[in-house]
Amino acid sequence: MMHDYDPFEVWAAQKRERLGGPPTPEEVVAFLRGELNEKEAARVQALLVYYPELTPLLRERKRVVPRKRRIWTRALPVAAAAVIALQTILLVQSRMQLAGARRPHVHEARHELESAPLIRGFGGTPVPELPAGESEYLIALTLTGRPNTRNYRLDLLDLSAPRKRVVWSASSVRPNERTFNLTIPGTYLRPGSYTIDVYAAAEGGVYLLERFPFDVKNE
Amino acid sequence: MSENERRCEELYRYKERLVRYVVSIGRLEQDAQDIVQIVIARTCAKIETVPSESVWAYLRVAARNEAFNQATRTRTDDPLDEINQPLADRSRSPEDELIAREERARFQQTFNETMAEFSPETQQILFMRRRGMSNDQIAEDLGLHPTAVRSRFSRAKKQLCDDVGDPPTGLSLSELLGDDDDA
Repeated sequence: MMHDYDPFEVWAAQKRERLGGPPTPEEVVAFLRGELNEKEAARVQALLVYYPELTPLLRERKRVVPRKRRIWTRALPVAAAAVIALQTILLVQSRMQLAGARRPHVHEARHELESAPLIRGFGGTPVPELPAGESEYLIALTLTGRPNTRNYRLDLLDLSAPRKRVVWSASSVRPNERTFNLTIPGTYLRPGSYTIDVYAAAEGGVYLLERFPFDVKNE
Repeated sequence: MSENERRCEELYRYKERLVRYVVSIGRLEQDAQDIVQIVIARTCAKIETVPSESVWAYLRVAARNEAFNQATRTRTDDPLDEINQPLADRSRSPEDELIAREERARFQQTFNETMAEFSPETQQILFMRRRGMSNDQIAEDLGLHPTAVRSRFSRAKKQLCDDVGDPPTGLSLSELLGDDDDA
């Protein structure tokens, strides 16, 4: 049986009414020129669709809308996709690093360092050597004295650099008895000469307490 | 000659094109001539508000609205309007006619509710496909990618056909909308 009834046409007629009837020429011109706010533009676009005799005017928009806006319309999704991709890469990288750090592992050796005299030329203690290539260095520093302080600062200095520089530092640390047990990632200790300076924080300020020099050498 | 007078004269360049457009939307040639005259005169009166690059769009919308306004006025004034309506299918009894009307009303309500679940753009895609437009034409008009139009249409069509239930006898939504690919 043939039907005159078309649910789409009935629906569209109601839709046209809800949207406020046919658009005025002024509204259409403003829409084509990109001068309407988002909500109004959506309404006029819908009206141009639901009044089929006006639908071809949608194509006029391309010639009239300022080019700058069209570029942004296309660039935004691309930029958003790039940001999402970058964030995903960073997330995966950080997850992998965390997984590595959490994995149980055994230290290859514990290196006990001795403090050197602070006054240059005093004594001839040989500088200990640590083998290069360890993934992590477990280093024990035992203080020779027992200063009257509870807060210490440790600085790891790279002496091989043209100008010696602090490559790692920790403040407000406390020893176990008189020993600091440090775990230093291998990436911090390439072959070269280093020292770990132990500072004591006292009311009068911070002063150098002891120095633990060492070399990292290829075996 | 002032700038506005010059632009008013230029409006007459669109006259023939505008008459053809009004005829294409169902008005008689003589009526179309009258409508175009009215529209050009009104547009001329406020020519300074009409951007020069959008004159055709302005005239077209104004002519369309005037044509439909006139049609509505004529219809309201016509006392024989009721009588001029197409006669109901005489092969059916009044009871059958009433049942069919109720069935349609129920179906239309479900149809409207399902359509309301779609985004405005998906609704527009469905309507434009129903009107026989191709995916490429719709994509161009709505500023979307043709692949996006195709996939949204395909999903929406499936949901619509699944959710609205049995249509009135002899009606097929799937046939009304055409294939998933271009109409």
